[in-house]
Amino acid sequence: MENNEINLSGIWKKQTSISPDFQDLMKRIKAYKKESVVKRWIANISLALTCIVLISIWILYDSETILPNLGISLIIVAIAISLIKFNQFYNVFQDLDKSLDNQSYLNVLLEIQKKQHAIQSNFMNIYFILLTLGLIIYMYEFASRMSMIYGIIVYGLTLAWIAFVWFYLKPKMAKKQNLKLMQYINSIENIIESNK
Amino acid sequence: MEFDKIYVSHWDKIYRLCMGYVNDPDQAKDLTQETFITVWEKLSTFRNESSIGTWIYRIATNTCLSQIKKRDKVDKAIEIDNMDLPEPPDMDDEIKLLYQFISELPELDRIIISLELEEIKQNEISKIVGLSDSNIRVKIHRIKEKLTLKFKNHGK
Repeated sequence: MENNEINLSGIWKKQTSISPDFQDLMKRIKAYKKESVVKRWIANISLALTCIVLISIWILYDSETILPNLGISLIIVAIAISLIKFNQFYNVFQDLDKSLDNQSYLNVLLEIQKKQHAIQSNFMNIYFILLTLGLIIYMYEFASRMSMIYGIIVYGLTLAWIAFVWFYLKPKMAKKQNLKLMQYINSIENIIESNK
Repeated sequence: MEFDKIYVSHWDKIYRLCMGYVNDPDQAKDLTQETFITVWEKLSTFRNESSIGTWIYRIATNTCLSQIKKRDKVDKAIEIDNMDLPEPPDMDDEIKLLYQFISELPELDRIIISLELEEIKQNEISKIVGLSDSNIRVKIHRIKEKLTLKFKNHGK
């Protein structure tokens, strides 16, 4: 068999060497540092902004009842949670130990993805519930000042929109996200399985 | 150990490894640089439990494996590359073919054969990949057979 084999090492060794570009690397390191700092601060900044906006609303927004304030607060909290959640997931990827052997690395990667898959749907439900509740509570004070018919129309339209989001958009988004994630999980599983 | 020296002494090897994985000079350069960003970042955490070479190869191969998410894009890029785009200059036809054939292998096989062709010892390869020595030996034999067959079918 050996004699029939093509001299692969011989071909590999014929390659001309390519000179490394140290300056390009330094540029990339600089950009990477900057990006990491920004990403790591997103959670802190969004938390701080959330607090500032919430406090301002409660102090500055003049309403008859506390309902609009409560509604806006819930909406802002929902948005802040989504930002922080996204950021946390990014950090998990950043902190992955790449000096593991390939099999262990793939197993860790798989574990993270499966966890992500499990929390994704729960998180999405919390996000939509907060947004929906926020919107309904926020509107109450304004709707109560309207005539009965206008109130019903405004609430009807809002609830229709929420139903559209909840029963059509959300499942569609979840399906798309899950499909991507499942494809990724399958790819990792295939690589691990093919080497057992 | 100084980062600059590691960079100069290992760049070529890591670039070839990445080329074996993606068969695309630009992507291979990106992956190589990405590997060295991690090396630069984590060098202080390197404890001499393995050789520095094994450590860097692990980072490089895992950086390549992290590309699974972009695999569809990579596969498409390879297809397009083979059809339309101009080939990189100064590359021997046999090497181009070898890279193409390697890139058609499953992910870990690409890594294993590239390391073997870089003359990394088989017990080092098993430490990098995380498979047993005997498994690696068998795999290398099979991959070489596959590549030889591909060359022969191509009219060699």
